[in-house]
Amino acid sequence: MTTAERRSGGHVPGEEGLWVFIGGDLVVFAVFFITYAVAHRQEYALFEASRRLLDRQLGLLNTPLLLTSSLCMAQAVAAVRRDDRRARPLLLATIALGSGFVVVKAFEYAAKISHGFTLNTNSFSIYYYMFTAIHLVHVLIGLGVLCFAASRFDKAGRMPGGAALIEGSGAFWHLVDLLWIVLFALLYLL
Amino acid sequence: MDTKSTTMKLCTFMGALAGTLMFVGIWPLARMFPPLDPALPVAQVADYYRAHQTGILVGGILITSASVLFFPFLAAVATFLKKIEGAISPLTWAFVMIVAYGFVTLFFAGLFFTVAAYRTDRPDAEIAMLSDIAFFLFVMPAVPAFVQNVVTGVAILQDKRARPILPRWLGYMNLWTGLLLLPGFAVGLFKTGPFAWNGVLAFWVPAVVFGIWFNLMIVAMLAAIKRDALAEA
Repeated sequence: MTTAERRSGGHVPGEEGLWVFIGGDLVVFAVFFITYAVAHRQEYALFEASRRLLDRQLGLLNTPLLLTSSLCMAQAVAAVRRDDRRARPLLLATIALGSGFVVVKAFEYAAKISHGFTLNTNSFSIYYYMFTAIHLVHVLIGLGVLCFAASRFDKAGRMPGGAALIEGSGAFWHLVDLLWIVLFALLYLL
Repeated sequence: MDTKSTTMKLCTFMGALAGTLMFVGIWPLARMFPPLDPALPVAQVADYYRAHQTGILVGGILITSASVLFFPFLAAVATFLKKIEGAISPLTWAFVMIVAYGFVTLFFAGLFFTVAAYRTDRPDAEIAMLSDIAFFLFVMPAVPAFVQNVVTGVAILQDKRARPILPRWLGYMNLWTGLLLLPGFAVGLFKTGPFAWNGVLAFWVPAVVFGIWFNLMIVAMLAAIKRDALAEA
């Protein structure tokens, strides 16, 4: 596909089926968030008290990690489209920042567990652990996809014909980022 | 209409019958819809079985009967998938193998409901244990269901014919159904909350989504049989 065709409008980045999957995932998380909102109303005091036990600093640290990684991802997609050699380092930076998110999450879980705040501590902890863990699985899958994409560069650091792959990986990575923004606001802040 | 499409139609309707039997068995008869609260004390679980013995036993017959009647329906689905894939059909094979154990759990769920209600003079703890096994068999096969739906969805979407054998929206719907069924995987971890076996995310959403999926599959398959899609190139 030529650049002109891409700009002519009507271009779907990546595969059509991927967007349906992303739509489905958003539906699932929408159902999750509604369930949480209802439970939050029902047990307001408990949720507020438990929320204060969460480590806002670590949550806050993870947000720019993912946001910056998404920025690098977007730059990497643009770089592949214009056949720019900076695409590979940008993609590796995305992977590094995403891995940083996983490491921070691991420290956060470990600290919570050592303080006795575990999966079945109360109804808030169930939401906290399950939602963040399901999101973490998305992060890990995303990292796997990005590593695969990173392995597709040729020796010159270009990815000829790799637009669909990099766009698809990018779309999924942005989904992971988007879900985290909502999760962070919902669990840590609101 | 030739014999083959009559057979396909019969198999598809067998699914509707199975779904109805399962629902009647689990809901008005066994009164296990919604499921017993997993946080219920052992003595109360046992008392529930003692109080509803006949309903649960008759419900057990319907649930076990339903489980086998799902298979002609699933065979009809597999026939469509095979038609889509052609001679080399790994997704059809995967589908056949996954449903072979994914739907058998329903038979065992009915069986364990029956055993739990069979001798009401059993100690409370034994009845409660059998009840737990029945509910896990009923709700926990979320992962096989997810993979089954993904395989079905991918096979339908792979169809490159100008007029696909099964409509593309059905493929997308299978993918979404699979995702929404998935939260049932963690029921073993919880006794309360949305991921417990009576929770919103592990039970209610999957139950409603399964009902919608099931009915739309039947509608789409009957439409495909009516236009004789299996006889097309």
